Amino acid sequence: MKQPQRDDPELVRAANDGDVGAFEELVRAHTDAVYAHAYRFFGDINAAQDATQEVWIKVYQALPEFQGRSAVSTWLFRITRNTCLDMLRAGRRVATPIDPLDVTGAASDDTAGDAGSRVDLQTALRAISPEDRDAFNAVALFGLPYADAGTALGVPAGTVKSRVFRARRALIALLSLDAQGGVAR
Amino acid sequence: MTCLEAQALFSAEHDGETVSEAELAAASAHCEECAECSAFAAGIRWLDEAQVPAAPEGLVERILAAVAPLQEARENAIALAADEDEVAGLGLELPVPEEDPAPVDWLAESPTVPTPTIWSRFEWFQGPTRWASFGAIGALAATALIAFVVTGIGTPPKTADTTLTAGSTSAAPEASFGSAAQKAAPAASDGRVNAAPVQAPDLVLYKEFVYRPGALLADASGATPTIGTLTTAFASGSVRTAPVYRSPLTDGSIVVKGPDGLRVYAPVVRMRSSVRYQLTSGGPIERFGVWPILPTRFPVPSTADGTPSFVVAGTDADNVTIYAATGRPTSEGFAVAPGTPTTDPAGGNPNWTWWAPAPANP
Repeated sequence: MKQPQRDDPELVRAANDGDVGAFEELVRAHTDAVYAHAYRFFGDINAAQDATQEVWIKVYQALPEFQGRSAVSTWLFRITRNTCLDMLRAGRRVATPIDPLDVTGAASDDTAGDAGSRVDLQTALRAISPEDRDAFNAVALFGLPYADAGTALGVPAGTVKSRVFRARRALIALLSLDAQGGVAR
Repeated sequence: MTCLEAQALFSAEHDGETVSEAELAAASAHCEECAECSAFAAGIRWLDEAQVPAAPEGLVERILAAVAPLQEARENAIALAADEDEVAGLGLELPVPEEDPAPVDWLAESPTVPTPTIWSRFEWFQGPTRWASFGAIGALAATALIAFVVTGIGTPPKTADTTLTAGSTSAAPEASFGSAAQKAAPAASDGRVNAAPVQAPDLVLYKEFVYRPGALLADASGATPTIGTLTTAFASGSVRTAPVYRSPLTDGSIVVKGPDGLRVYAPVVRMRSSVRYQLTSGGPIERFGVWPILPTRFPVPSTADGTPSFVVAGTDADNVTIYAATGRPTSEGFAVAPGTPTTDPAGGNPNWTWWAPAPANP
């Protein structure tokens, strides 16, 4: 019999009670977001993979501490961000610096399946300020409302709103997107 | 309405924030006249569609494999707790006393419960059969004593001191994952664990120092000149000699020419007293997934406290216990016991590791 779909808090509770399948479900549902944040943070596939693995180990270890006071995605975003910062501080990984001047007009009209445009967007994301990128990731990758993102980042919701807006403006300018979402020639 | 106001409104509305119908209509009207705002609105949609790099294939499986030992430990803990509950519940199954105590009226407003005496906790030992029970217990105890003396069964197992140093995050070796590995697979003569259960990270060894792969260098011009070679098979294939270049970075990294081009390899370091100490290995690391081992001048400690090679010397910047070589200052380097947490630079290492001052120019 097919098990009814469980929401994130249910999965966390079940995983904490020893339900291996529940934890796997959580991992499968959220690994893309965790990995994407780490990749944008480090700019390196290996570092992003290591960070993602470390995030999930920390999540597993912290399962008993999850009280449900915040959304699972908020909790996960906070662990992801802190793990990346810890790895950087510990000198175990370095973030590859990007010069914004190197990122220009990189997107293409064909967004679907265009690896080139995706890579360049990631490069552009790493060229904007870390604060703006974190706010953008919290909202765009983890789907957090401004208020929750603000809680995770330790800033007011209004600040998140400004940072996300600033990030979008910077990205659109860096990628020289036109009114059709393609590159302005 | 200005461009900034209109764009901020689009951005907030896109994220599900409440905006008024009137403001949105004004922003849309502005957008029809303004190419910049029109491009911004389209750009938001484009960013949504194009933004997420998916996790590489196999990463989820790798994560689940890494978490599996933790799950096993948790299952054991849950099973143990259940066993304890069952044992606690056994008291309820002990023989019912032959002489029932005075009945209690539980429906009364304030039921009067007889005050328990010390003997009431041993109800099964009351009544006419008490002396028969006493005799049976005595006989069992005598049998157990004889068995203990003759066979030694019941001797407490010899366990190492698993106490962690106060406030430290480093486990004593016998308490570590590595210890389990060593029990499962006896250590080789050089102290290397034959079958470590945790996969080592991607590491290379250059002049006794350990490095981890970092970013791929798009521009090779900064990575000159050649400063040496190292031996590795990288992730797969045959062991070969790879050229090592000076890194354009100033963090003590090196650049190695690998199968995918020139890649920066960052030193694996830990901090103590604001000094960087880098992981070393006394044995070769000829492919990814091989753990470093102690330099051969240090016999692998036979005890949890590091003796005879090491003595506890404090903690590093991350509160991990470090061990100095006996009679030597930690400024020359220090050892770290296996069993550090996964967040540690040597996390998961089943062997003792040696950390020497990191060379500024490898």
